[in-house]
Amino acid sequence: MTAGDPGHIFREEAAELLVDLETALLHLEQNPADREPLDTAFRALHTIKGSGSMFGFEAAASFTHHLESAFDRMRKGELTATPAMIGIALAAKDHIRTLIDDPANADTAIGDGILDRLAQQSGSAAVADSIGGLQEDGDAPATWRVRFRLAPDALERGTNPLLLLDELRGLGDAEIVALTDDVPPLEELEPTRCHIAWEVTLTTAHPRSTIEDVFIFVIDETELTIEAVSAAPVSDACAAEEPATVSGLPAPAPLEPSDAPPQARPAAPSKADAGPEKGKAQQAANSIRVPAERLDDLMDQVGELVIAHARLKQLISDSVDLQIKSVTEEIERLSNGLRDITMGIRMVPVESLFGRFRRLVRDLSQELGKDVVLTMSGEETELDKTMIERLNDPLVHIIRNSLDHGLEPAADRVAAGKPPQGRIHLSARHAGTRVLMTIRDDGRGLDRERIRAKAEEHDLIPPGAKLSDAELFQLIFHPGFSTARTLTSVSGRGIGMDVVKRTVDGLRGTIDISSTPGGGTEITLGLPLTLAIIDGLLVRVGQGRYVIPLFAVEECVELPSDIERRHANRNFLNIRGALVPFLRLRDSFGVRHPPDPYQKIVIISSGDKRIGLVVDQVLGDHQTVIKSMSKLHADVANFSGATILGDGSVALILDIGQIVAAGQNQEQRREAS
Amino acid sequence: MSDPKPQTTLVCDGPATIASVEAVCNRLREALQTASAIEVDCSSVTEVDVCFLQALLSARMVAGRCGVDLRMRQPIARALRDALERGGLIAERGNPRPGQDFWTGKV
Repeated sequence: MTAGDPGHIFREEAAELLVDLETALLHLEQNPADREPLDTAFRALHTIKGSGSMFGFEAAASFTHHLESAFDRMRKGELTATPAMIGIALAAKDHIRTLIDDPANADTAIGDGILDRLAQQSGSAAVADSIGGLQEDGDAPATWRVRFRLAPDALERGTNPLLLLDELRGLGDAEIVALTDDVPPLEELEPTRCHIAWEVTLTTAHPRSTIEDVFIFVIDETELTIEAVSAAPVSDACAAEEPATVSGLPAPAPLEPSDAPPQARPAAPSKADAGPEKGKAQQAANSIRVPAERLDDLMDQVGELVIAHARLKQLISDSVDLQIKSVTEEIERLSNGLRDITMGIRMVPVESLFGRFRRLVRDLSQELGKDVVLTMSGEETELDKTMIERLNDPLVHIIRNSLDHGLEPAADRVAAGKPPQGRIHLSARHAGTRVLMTIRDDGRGLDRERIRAKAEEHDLIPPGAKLSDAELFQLIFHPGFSTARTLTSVSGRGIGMDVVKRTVDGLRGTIDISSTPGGGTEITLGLPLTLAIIDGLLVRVGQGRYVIPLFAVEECVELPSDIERRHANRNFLNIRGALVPFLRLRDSFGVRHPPDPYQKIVIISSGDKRIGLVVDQVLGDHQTVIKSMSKLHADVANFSGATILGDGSVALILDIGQIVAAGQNQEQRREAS
Repeated sequence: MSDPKPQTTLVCDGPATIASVEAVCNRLREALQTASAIEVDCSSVTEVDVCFLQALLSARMVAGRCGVDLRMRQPIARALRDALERGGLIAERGNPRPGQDFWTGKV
């Protein structure tokens, strides 16, 4: 299936709409009186139904229709968005996703069960009602003058105005007049553009909102006026919202020209008033959908350009030709600009990630019988799209653990002097070239003694070993480590946190944990902005060159000659009063080339741990285009990738997490001996 | 004295939609330059959209300006009549729409 396949396009759009639907439902559950999420949910359902039917997803369209009908009734105030109704809607949303993504395996019994529950909640007659059902008996029909002009490119985008007119005609007695004054002569005609506008005099018992719903797919690009030419039903909420538009104009105002500014036209109030929705739609109109693989390809090409430029720079380093140097600098400026733009294209707000966890927290808290609220901040912080996708599972594990182990039952919380409702807070913020993502709960905190006992039981630490809190907490990332007394369907099987660690390591990220007994736990993930290009420090060890990710570098110092002369076996250094262990990379890498007379130590840090790396020479900073290791080298310890230098040679990139762990192990062995 | 321009018939059949409207426009332009009277035969169109209707409206405008007699061969196809009615360019009942006679041939 290709990206251009209509079915594929529908699936992608439906996936986004289902996310919007879920967000709206969860918001509605918290704020049942809020009209906006109700409208958003209805629009999402309406679009899924309409597009689904258009693209041949009949089962999904048919199922969605029932839910849409119920939400239409909610919009009219005939039904209430009770928690039970929201629960059914969320289950229905999941079923719609299955019907769209994997229709062959969709269980009709599940769908029928959901519809039965929906019918019970809303009354069987309600489910059978179609969208925009008639108002209560006794409402007098009103006459409306509906004028609309589609966007010039509407026909090219597949909009069929005849279908819109059919839909209007279906609402009542309609007199349709095409306004053809703007159709240009043949020599000027752009035949695929829409030049005709329409005026429809519609007498209907349906409310104004039903007329607006006809334009729901095209509202943001359409000049639309709806005016009452006879008394509208009193119960029409929309009429009350915007009396100026429906006050009954004696003569219709002329239709505005197609190039009139958007704000000059009176549009459907429920859409126009939906500020964020409107803005989002306009933003969407100015954006294009590009397959992620193309962005990956573009990033690869930019990486190659950066490497080629580095080679060029090296080649002309001895040249005295000022013109060539000038051109090279220009190429550098352009390639840097292209790199920044390309990286920017791949960035998406973490909101798209955080938003997924609302449902997780809702469902888990219900399952566990805990009252938990999820709050967020910094959702606008941007991160590479690939990174966002790969962070989903780790964050799910962390949140599940917080909910299951961290947050106490309400009675325990009250007994501990806390509010009965538990809180999980997700936040993201920039810190230099990194993004810090924090998951904080106000639960009981990590149980140090239990972690220690478990670690000793598993021989992870010697009995009575002195460990800092940070070191102790890192043990929970060990495979198979779990302090949960009972296994639940949520957590406690010892799987998950090691997956978190592995995934974050794979992203060149770091994990820090802080915890206060009775006060809660905070897990912070430090992540690079992108996986493709990093700033590195290029060093030489023997004749080989290596890249140390710059974010981990604290400082560079010279290895004191007396240490080498008098304490050849000593592997720690006094840095302003703090003892810092160091690794001789020459030894680690088995280098036999004689060492430089003045060796350097690069101090790197990971979390609260610091170690020094002894190198022969610090060559300087280096823009590092990361290349994955081949499968053959994937298991090589201490390296996370490779890069190509200006002279075409390869430099390995040090894996900071593994190197720091190796340094700490060496230190522990030294202490033990 | 130059030869009088010929009369011509322009046949449109099958789907008359956005997919073929560019070609229809080209044929209309050519006919308007070379003929003194054009009869558009849409008796075999099977599908009509707004693009096609616009093209004919646009051609009629030019024809009126250039003195070319442009008319629709009657009776028009059901598909065309449906599109015209649905699009508010003709009315089966009530007040006739502006320019309705061009489509129906009834004055």
